Amino acid sequence: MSIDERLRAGLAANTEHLAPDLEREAAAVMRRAYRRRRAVVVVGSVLAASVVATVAWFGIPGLERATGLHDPVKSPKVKVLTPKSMAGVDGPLSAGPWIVPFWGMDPHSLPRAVVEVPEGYGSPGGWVVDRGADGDPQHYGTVGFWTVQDVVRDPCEGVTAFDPGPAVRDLAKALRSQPGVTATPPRPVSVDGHQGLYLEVSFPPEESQFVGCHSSEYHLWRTDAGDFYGTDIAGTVSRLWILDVQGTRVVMVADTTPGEDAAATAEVLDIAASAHFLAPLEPAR
Amino acid sequence: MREAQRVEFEWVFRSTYPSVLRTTYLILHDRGRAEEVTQDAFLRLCERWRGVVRIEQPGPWVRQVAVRAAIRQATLRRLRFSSTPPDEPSGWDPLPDVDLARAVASLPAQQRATVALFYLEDLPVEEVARVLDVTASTVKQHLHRARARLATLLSEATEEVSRDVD
Repeated sequence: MSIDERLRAGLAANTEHLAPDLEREAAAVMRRAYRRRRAVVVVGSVLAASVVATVAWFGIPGLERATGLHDPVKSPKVKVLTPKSMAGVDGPLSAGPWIVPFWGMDPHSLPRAVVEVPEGYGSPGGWVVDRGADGDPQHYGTVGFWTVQDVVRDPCEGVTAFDPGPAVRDLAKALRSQPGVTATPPRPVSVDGHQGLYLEVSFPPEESQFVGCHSSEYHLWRTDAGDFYGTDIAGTVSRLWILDVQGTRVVMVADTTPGEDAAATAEVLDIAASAHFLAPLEPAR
Repeated sequence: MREAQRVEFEWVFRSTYPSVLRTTYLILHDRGRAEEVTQDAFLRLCERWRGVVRIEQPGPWVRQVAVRAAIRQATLRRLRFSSTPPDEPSGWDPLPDVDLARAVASLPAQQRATVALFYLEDLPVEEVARVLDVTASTVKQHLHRARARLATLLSEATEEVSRDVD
């Protein structure tokens, strides 16, 4: 056998076992693509700062648990926390407490959000996300934290935005006024002792309603870094806790798609219910 | 991604992913890393597909992205298995032609890629050159050196087996 023949036969034989599961692999790629797009980009300095934050605060005990979200029956037991930073993590998360980076604003001046993550969750670069249903990129639930600079005037148009004003109620009012999406009336809520307003925003239920929108998406708001929050999945429900955390307005978002079953949705909400906040690394400027 | 784009992407994925994975596997000799590199390339393709950039030949484009990333990773991590017994290390799959795997793994990453594209994917020299962003004569040089090196290694392996049998 010549070297050429040996190479052709041998290389084919040595790679025969690879036989990828194309359905699974394609779903994984699509899901990563979708989540990467939604997760936007966190600049390197933000990642580095979050890592520094983790190191600096490693070992700080957990604070009082959230009070406005919990079903007392479901409340997790309080335990000593040693949260790790989720900044830059792209993959599975170990069960336990994690510091979730905010989208927007200089993290040095922000309170740091901590959530309890159960088994089976991951993070595409800095927020909590479940596995999705059978790898389907259309079915998932997430928990993330944002600061909002501008509210998009028309979520379908998706770009033109306005300053809603600095207060929690200003933001809630602005989100209620957005056309094309349905927002519940805001109601008072308290998370980890921080007061705020809770509302749920439902995106249009039909895919056809996304056609013609900017990037076929609906956008709700924009951060000072220019990142938009929104979705291109019809029927997504975003649950928003707009909170005043020691003078900083933050938004915790738990969103689920229509394909997420009740148990998975409840688990996502349990993650949100575990949220509490640590002091910023530096005083607000 | 709209339905038509999704269908087109899936078609490209199905027709290209297995061969790209085979090639990156031969460059990296690690299935996990090969899958990661290959998925990353398709991820980039997917993202571009959603944007305004139209990729005329998505199959060759994604192969080029994946192969170059695999070469870069192999070079950076100095993935050489020549000193590692192929029947012992963790991470190796049981392979039908272990001697060949070990010999190919001892080649520099660029030569491994050239061999994989030429012998496994059966691409013409000009196409291999395009994927690797080198000239056709460079590809021929790589192939020539790789063949000579592999012939030596494989004949040595054969002689060792003969001695063991004797």
